[in-house]
Order: sequence, then C-alpha cells, then structure tokens
Amino acid sequence: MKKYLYGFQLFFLNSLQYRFNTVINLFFGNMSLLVTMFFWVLIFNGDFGKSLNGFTLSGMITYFVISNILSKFTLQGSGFYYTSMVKNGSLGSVLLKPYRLEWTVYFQQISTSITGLIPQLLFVLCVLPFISGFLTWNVSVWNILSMVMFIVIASITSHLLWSIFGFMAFWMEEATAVMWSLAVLLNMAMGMYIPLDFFPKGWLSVLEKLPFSAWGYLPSKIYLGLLSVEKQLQLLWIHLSWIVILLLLHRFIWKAGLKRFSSVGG
Amino acid sequence: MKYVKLFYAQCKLSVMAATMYRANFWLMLIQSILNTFMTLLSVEFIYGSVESIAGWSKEDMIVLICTSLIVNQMYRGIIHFNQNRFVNGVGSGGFDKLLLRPVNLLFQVNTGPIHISGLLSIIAPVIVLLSQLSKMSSHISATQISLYLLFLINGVVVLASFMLLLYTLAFVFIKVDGINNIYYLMMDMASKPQEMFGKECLYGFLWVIPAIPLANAPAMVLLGKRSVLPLALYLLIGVTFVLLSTVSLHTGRKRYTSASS
Repeated sequence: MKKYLYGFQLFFLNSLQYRFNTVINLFFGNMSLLVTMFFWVLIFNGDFGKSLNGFTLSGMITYFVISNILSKFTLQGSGFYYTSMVKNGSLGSVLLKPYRLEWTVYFQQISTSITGLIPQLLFVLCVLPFISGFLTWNVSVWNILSMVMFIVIASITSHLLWSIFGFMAFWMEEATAVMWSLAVLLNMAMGMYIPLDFFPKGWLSVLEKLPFSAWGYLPSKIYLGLLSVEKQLQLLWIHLSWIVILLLLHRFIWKAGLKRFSSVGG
Repeated sequence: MKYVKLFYAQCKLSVMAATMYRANFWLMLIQSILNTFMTLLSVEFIYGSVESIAGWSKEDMIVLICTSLIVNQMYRGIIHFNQNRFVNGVGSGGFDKLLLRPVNLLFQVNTGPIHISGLLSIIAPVIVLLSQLSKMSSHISATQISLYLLFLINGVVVLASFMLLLYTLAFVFIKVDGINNIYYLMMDMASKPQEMFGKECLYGFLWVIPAIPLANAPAMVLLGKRSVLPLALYLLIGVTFVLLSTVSLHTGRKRYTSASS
C-alpha cells in the first residue's frame, strides 16, 4: 500500500509545481458538465414535472453527472498505448518481459482513470451543494451492486475493444486518425451526447445490447431506477458474453498482428 | 502586403507538409466530418422530442451549431496551434526567436504553420449551412449574409484575442496549458442559444468570457433575430479584446526573461 500512496503523493507534488495551471485545470476542466446541464434546463423549459422519453429534468441532470463520472472507466487509452508502442518499436522490448501485457496495460489504464477521476469528483463535490436539489437520489442496494458490475464490465470491454482498435497499428503506419474517428462514433453510441432513449424507435433495442451502452448509458439508467431487475439481468448476461467474444477477437488479432510486427529501432 | 505574402508562404508550406502524409490527412478530415454529422444527429434526435428550444427551431439551431463549428475550425486551423507554440516558447526560451525577427510580434504569435485538416474541416459545416440557407433563402437578404460574414470574422477575432489575452499569463505563470480548457468550454457554450445564460449573466458572457459573440451573434444576424444596436456592441467587444490582448502581450514581453540564455 505504501508504494501506491507514494505514487499519489508524487502525483500531487508534481501537480502543485505549477499551481495556477492545476487550479485552472480543476476549475475549467469539468465545467462543460454545467453547460450541458443548463442546456437541458433550457430544453425542458425549466419544468421539473415534464418528462421527455422517460426522463424528467432532474433525471436528465443526474444522468449526465453520473455518465460523465463513469466515462472515466472507458479505457480509450489502451488503444493509443498499443499504437504508440507498435509505432515507436518499444513493443519489442516489452514482449521480452515476464508478464502478460494485456493485464499490465489494463491495470495501468485503470490507475490512470482513477487518478483522473479525482479532479472530476472534486469538481462535482464543489458544485454539489448548488445542484443537489436538482439531482435524483434514487439509491437501492441492488442498483448500486448492479452499477458496479456494469462499471467493471465497461472497463474490461472498453479495454479489449480499444486494444483491438490499437492493433490496427500493425497494419497501418498511422492509426490515431482512425481511432479518433471511432471515438466520435462510440461517444454517440454510448449515450454521451444524449441518452439512447432519444434515438429513433428500434435503435435503442439494438444499441443497448452492444458493448458501448455499458460505458455510461446503462449504469446511469440503473442508478435512476429506469431499468427493471429482469432487464438488468438480461443485459448483464449479454454484456458478459461480449467480454468472451472480445477476448477471443483480441487474442486472434493480437497473434495475427504480431506476425506482421517488425520492431522499429529494436 | 508584406504580411499577406508571408501568410501565403506559410499556407503553401503547410499544404506541402500536410500532403506528405496523405492517408492521415484524409482520415483526419473524415473524423471532422463525422464530428459535424454526430453533432447534427444529436440535434435531430433532441428535436424529435421538442418543437423548439427557447424560441430556436431545429433549422435555427443547425445554423447556430454550423456557425460555431466554422468559427472553431477557423481558429483551430489558423491560430490555435501558433498561440500554443508561443506559450511553449515562453517556457522554453523559444520566444526569443520571435523577438529577433523583423516581423510584427502580434502577427507572429497568431500565425505560422496552418493546421490544414482543421481548416478543411470547415467544409462539412459550410455545406450543411448552405443547404439550410437554400431552404430559407426567401427570408434572407444580401445584407444579412454580408453582416453574417462580418460577425463570423468578428467571432474568430474575439476568440483569438481573448485566448491570447489568457495565454499571455504564461509570462507570469509559465505553464498555462490548462487554459485550453477555457477554449473548449467557450466553444461548448458558443454552440448553445444565448438564452441559456439568462439575463443576469448575459453581460458576463459578453465581456468576461465572451462566448456569445462567437456564434450567437452571426447566427442571429442571419436569422434576423437582432436589431442593429446590440450588433455594434459585438464589434466593440472584438475591438476591446484586440486592444487588451495587444497591451497584455507587450506588457508581458517587458517581463520576459529568456529561459534559454
């Protein structure tokens, strides 16, 4: 435990070297959440009794607060990490080390996400006294447990899928542009811009079964109590199956990619 | 004329550099088109549930969003990268080079290599805007279009000078890259109707964080939502921020002690 605490201490000391920059980052880095909230107040015309596609205004605000925090567990960084390693040739030396690379990358990205979560939580805690009245506090033990399960699933599926995208670097010289394009599409499919319930009829039943819905949309809806236990269990099985599918795909593409890999500079 | 030639040479060099990695260049362009498409798709889906938002119809909102995308991409394509280079230069001592050249400092800080794919990203919102305008052509006069272009440029000027004003804090605090968050925030606010800010905060978002003049002002001109007097105010805001950023840059230069010597 001591070494992890030392890591956090180093992180904070490093941040405090440029205090102005740290404060600006803390304050303005998460302000877009407030802009989104005010925009939805405008859409609902400030009417807390109104309901749009099953969401009340307080439900919508809560949805964005929760999904904004949970989006940190979407491990996009895994893909970019693999891409850079393939591109600069450092993958060659990493492959010689006696550990499983996919797990190492997963835990590395999770720790980065948790560290990144601290400023976000600090911001939410700062604005909480002002917005708590507008939030939905619909907490049940089952919903919290279910949320946690979906967050764990989200971190694994996002890590696997983004790693697969990162493996494109084995075939392409520069894969980052494709990955950013995919990021735009996936942000939409995970309900980051608007909840999936606002999509045309029929889309939701397909999108909620895809792995991206667990990256923000489903846990937020579970928190809001908008998903029945039966539905949650059904989706849980589907998303657990995605882990198996993506794991197999990950292994297959990794092996195929390694055959093409020529260590640059190594 | 000298500066026009210089700007032309910078554009030429940037195009040559961008076409060296053609595949990546086109992919970056596709990403930007996707970004525009997804933003507009969100609007389409939201308006599937509501008739109007604070008096803005779906067509009005598309004009506003396309305008904010155009202002953003113009700034990102021509100015943003160079202002960031200036900030890094203050910390590393690279700012010395700018001081030695016989070219206006403000010009050097704002211009240089051009982010071609960023600049070409204007194409997608421009096409959407033009198609939107063709549907509304009976209501729009040539004066409105001229004023729209004027306020569009004013929006870029306000954004560039406001950001420069903030970036000059690098002379005091050295590392100020967190200020980029203010830029992202401003662009996020610019794509929303100004009614969102409420009457109480309106002046704050005109003079303190000038998000309203960026896209709301040109869009409202085009949609015929404003009288002339507040429009003059938007131009005044542009002039004020240019003056403030120039003064701040020259004051900062006096404070500057080269990091590399």
